[in-house]
Amino acid sequence: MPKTTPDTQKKQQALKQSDMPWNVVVLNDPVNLQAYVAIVFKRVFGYSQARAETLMMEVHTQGRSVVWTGVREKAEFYVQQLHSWQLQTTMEKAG
Amino acid sequence: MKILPTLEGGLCILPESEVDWDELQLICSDDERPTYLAESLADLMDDDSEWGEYVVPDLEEAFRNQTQFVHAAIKQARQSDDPAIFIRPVEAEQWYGALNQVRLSLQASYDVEELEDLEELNEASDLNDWDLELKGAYFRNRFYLLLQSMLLEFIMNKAE
Repeated sequence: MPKTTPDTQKKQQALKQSDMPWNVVVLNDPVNLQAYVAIVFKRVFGYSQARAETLMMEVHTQGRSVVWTGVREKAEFYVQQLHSWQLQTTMEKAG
Repeated sequence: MKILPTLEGGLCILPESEVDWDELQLICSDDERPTYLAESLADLMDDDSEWGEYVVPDLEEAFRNQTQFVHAAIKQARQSDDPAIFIRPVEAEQWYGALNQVRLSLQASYDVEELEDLEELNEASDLNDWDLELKGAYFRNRFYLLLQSMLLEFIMNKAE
């Protein structure tokens, strides 16, 4: 007799997936000003000026930056926040 | 047009001609812009996120509030006896957001960033040779960029 039913296995798999860490990724765009992007990182994540500027420069020079990693629900919340500030942002599974 | 910092920590815009007012009113000229921006941001998310259903309406409303706020401020100032636009510190983000929307729209339509490149300008050799619409987009983008830079320098950076 199996220890779990197929349904339970699916639920466990879904739970595992939602527990996986997700990256919040900000993409470079030709419109948003560098100083503005740094301000947004400070406001949304509470980062220091130095951290915000490092991430902003990463976006600028590398075209993208992982600005936060964690559970999916919170990642979605942060993406929504960054979209409201008009930053091009997406999320991806970490690792 | 003159743009000056105020003693209260804001900005004052002093349009000097009808063209100046028209330039300002073009910030809010496109009713579809908030929708387009909200949807283009949602395109960055995968379909499973159901972003279009749950997030886009809120984003669209927030973006529309920005343009409506700026539209009302310009309209009110233009009709007043002392036609000056005052941007208070608490209003800076609304203005910045509305300006960002119009610059994103100009970028999408005319690729104005490419025009900013000096080499491009040299290749064009003479601005007078440019298509009138393209030239308008270029100068509007420059003006809105300047206003955004002043909002950052005199208000938003100081609030940090």
